Amino acid sequence: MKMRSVAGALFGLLLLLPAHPAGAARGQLKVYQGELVSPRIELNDINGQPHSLTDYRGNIVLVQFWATYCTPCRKEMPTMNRLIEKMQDKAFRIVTVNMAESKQQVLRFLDEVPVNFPVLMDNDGSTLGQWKVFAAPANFILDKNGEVIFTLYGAIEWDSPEMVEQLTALADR
Amino acid sequence: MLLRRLPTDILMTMLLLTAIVSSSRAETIGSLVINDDVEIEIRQFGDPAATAIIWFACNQGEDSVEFETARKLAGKGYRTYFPDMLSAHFLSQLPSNIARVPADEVAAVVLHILQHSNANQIYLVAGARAAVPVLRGLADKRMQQASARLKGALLITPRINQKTPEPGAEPVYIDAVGLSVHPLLVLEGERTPNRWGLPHLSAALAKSGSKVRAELIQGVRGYFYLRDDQTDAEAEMTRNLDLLIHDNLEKLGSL
Repeated sequence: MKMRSVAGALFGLLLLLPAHPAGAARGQLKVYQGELVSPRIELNDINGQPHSLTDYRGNIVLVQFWATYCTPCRKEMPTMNRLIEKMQDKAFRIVTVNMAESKQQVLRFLDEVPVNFPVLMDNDGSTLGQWKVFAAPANFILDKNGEVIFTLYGAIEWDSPEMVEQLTALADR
Repeated sequence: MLLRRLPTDILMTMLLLTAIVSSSRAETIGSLVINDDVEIEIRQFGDPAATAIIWFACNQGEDSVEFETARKLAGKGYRTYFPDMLSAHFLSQLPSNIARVPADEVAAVVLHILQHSNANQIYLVAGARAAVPVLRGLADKRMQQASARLKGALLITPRINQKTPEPGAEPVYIDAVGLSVHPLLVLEGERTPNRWGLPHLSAALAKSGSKVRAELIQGVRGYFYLRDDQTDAEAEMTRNLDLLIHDNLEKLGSL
């Protein structure tokens, strides 16, 4: 009985611990070691305006590939809105690319989840193919020369103090 | 641990109980004992037929979509076998557990059914993580030399990556991908990022000679028929899962 009590107490303690303690790899930027070199984006946004990634040179850029059926994408987009507000004086931009869904689907989503950054439309999926995107959300952090320096799979709180600090350090470099 | 202790060279010893339970005339349960200590229950739906399906599923409750689909397929002239690979090892019916099933047990079950069925053509069906043991089974040398009546495998929204692909990197699959010789037909949901990996996956699956075809199922996400949060389109596709399987087994048969 005593052993069972001790075991129960330990189990209860485990339940109190955070699921992803500080320092865990989950939700952190990962240094990119893949093969993408100066990846390009030449797409129109949801309003039909053309965008080129080269227009963003000189900024740290968060490029995110997302889809309306991606539940984590829906949850994290408000945190990206807040991030861009917190970083408005910095050399930092966000560009998102929808993964080949219809304009109608994307507009319906944006009606529910308004965003304050460009939403580009990869109508035939060719851009996400070039970027080797096979999961969503797929995030890339580009340096001021347009090279991928970090990646991150999955949703996070982009406006967390730690992330803002990390991105600010990159933007101020 | 139990899975690891099992010897790899498994001998089928006997077929037990050919018709114990019958909720309808054409539903029976038999069991296969492998190597004296692993008893695999095999549920059968439908009368003996020219076409048989061996469906590896982690979801085998009485009200499961898989059983319900098998009942509909019986009306279309299929006999469907459901080997319960999990209960044999006292594992709960979870997608994460189905991937732990030993390949040699999959091979033993398929070879046994090939030996005892009079069907002219036999197909394997697996969804989501159940594609893992099926591909491992197909990589077994005994399976590669199996009867020509084994026409291949239909993989419905297979989840066979070692882990979620990192942004900017090609997917990495389980080791058994690319070791099969039988035809494979992959169905993937249109509303899942995995669809963009289909060309890469098809090329990987075909490395040892399998003829591979991949198609999208419009309007659904991955493993749509197993989801608790189905959309209307996914619920509709689930109701028509028998038609989806029927149509695609015909395509698989012509590869």
